[in-house]
Amino acid sequence: VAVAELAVGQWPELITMLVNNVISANSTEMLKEATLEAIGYICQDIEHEVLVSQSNNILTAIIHGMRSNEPSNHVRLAATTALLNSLEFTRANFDKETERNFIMEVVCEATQSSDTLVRVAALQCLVKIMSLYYQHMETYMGQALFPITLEAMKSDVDEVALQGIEFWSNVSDEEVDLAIEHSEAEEAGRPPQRTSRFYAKGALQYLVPVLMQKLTKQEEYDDEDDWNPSKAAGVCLMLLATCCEDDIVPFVLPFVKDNIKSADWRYRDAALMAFGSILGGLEPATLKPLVEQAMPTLIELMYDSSVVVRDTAAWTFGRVCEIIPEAAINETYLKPLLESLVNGLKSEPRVAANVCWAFTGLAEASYEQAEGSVEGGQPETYCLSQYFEFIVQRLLETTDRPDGAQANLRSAAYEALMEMMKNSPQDCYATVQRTTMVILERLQQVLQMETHIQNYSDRAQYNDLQSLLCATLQSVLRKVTPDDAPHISDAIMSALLQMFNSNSCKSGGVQEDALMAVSTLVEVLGEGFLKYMEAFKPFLCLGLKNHAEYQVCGAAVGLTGDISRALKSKMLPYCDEIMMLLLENLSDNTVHRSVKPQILSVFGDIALSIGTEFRKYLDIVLRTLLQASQAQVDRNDYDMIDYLNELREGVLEAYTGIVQGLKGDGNTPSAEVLVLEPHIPFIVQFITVVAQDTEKSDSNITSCSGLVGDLCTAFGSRMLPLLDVEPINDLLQQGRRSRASKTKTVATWASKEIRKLRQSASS
Amino acid sequence: MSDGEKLGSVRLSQYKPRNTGSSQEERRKFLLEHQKRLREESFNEGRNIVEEINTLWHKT
Repeated sequence: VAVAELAVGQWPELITMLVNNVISANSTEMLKEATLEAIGYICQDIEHEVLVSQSNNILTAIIHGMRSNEPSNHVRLAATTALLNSLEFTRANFDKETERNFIMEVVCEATQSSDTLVRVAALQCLVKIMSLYYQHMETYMGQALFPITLEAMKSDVDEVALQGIEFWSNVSDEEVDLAIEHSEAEEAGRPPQRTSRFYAKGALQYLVPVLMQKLTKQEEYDDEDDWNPSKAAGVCLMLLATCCEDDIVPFVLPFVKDNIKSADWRYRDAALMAFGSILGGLEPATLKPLVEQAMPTLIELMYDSSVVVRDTAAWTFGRVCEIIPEAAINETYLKPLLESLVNGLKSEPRVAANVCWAFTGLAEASYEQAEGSVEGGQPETYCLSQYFEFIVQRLLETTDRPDGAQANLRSAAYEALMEMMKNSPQDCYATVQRTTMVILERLQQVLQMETHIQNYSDRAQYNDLQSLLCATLQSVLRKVTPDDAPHISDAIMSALLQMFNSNSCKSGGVQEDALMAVSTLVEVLGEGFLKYMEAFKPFLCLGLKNHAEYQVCGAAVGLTGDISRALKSKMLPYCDEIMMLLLENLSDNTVHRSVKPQILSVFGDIALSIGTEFRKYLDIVLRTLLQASQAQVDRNDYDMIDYLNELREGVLEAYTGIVQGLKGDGNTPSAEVLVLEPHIPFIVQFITVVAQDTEKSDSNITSCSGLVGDLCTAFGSRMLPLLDVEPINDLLQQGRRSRASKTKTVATWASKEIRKLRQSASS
Repeated sequence: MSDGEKLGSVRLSQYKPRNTGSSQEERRKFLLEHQKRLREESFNEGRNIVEEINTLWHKT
């Protein structure tokens, strides 16, 4: 009731009444506790601004309840919890030194309570205070916060230790943000608003040994959802490494060296965990020799008798392959590493899932390495080529493991397989072909299984599997050559159509992945997709009408654009129905806004495909574009600015497709383009608005530049007075100076088109 | 959910973190960017600047 009424200025006497309940000498313990709990709940749920003016009163009650001479631990706990919930709106009190000192004193005292619950709540307050009021903490850090939290970290009471560790995880997070703020300010040539006091760096030598000890307290059979000090220590170490970078190495490395071969699995695992956790923070020059030196031991640990150690070893390889793959991809270690990873695929699901992740990173890094040595296109071979078939085979077997539902193994294996396919060089094509057939076979088999589904869990697994198969199909199809595609497309399309027809496509996720698979097939078949259009169109329309699942609707819209580009003028017979659905979606408020810019872009695809035939849609489409081009958003909301840029991008792409489509391919523009003439002032006005927007995207600059050039080629010298103006020339200059080569080229081309017009006008 | 539980669940997601790569969200993002690139390519074909862009693209 208070949350509702205080927010609208009612029940003004409430807070005073509650405060009196707490401070009155006549109040019973129960009344004080209940009152403080009520204050806590109000503070937790109310909009913070509402209570700012009453913060003094509220704090009086809370601090009264938290004092060390308060005899009841129940009251102290309720008061400390209330403080935790009120910290956001007591900024004014924290800004005043005397008040801040008093609050900090009371909180620090409460961390020493004999009652664990009070201690934990007080430590939680310190964690939150550190985040909210970092800049005020210098006075308290050395004398109070550091010793209190270090002691808490060492505690055998898990809840206390967790808060101690969290305090330092929080400090690391905060100081990483401050470092980013500092470098951004430096780049912009201004002083940073807030500065780091480098508490984490200063405390490393004391924190790291405690964290290492906590790392050795792993549970052997814990639930992956359990949170305990050992896991918290791993996270804290990782955050400290991100914050302190190379400075952490001398404190961690001795522990790793001393314990990595320990007879006790807990110490081996802790050493490995420490090593894997710090990888992300180190400079490549420090990291590479460190990892190279560790490789033989890491490989050995993949065969450890303890599943926990093998799990951490596989995870560490996943990190290595992602962070510093060049240390793993070298002649000396690649073969034994691959052997250990393939062996790990047969291990427990948690280990195998981490191995799959390592393969994902390895595939990507190996391909990038090979790509670097060739000028564009697909490399002929790479370091995994001789093992490719074998690895793919093992991954396929892993996807089929009966325990694949555990630890997300099946998804991890399919994702590794997708990454292997995506990053395959030319000499692995035979395996890609074979894998395509395997996936297709599985898709057909899975469709027969639908009748066996008995419950919700079966359905979820079945849907996931279909989604994964469609996704894998996308990655293999991207590799299939245009010559091979027609040989397999009938089988693929028939499986996909069967899927669209089945119950599984009632799941948005499956429907979306199936539509994305069709997109890939369309791209590889080009005009050859035409033969499936009659059968497929109903499902495309269903997707376009799926307003409830906007991701599906978006996939259908994107696919419509793909089909238009592939079929070109052969798209025409399907356009009336599709255009109607697209226009309906645009005017429908229930359609998610993210789909609308895509629809506008697809107008551009359709217009370009059917050329002058687009005339019949022109009036309504131009009216729609005019409306969309006038959209305004809240300039304080970054997401909305991004959205506006996307929407404008859609409008620009639509105009581009229309201008180019009506102009035709010939050297001389078709006369049909003249129907656009009355609309040109609006188009130019729109380009000018975008050009003058300081928050336009680079992509907006490219599209505007392209459209300017297109208008020049379509309408000739008549455009000169409209386009050869300052805002547009500034835009083109900005484009020519862009770091993005694409923007540079398009802007240069458009500038040349304007120059041509100027020259012909002056001659 | 209490503050403690919230804290656990946020930090738990940072424990042994794994970038799983091609989740559906990643696929969606990839396809959108790809479609945009193809669209731009077809526009640039009409402008006769595809070759120029591709050459620059591979150089960068």
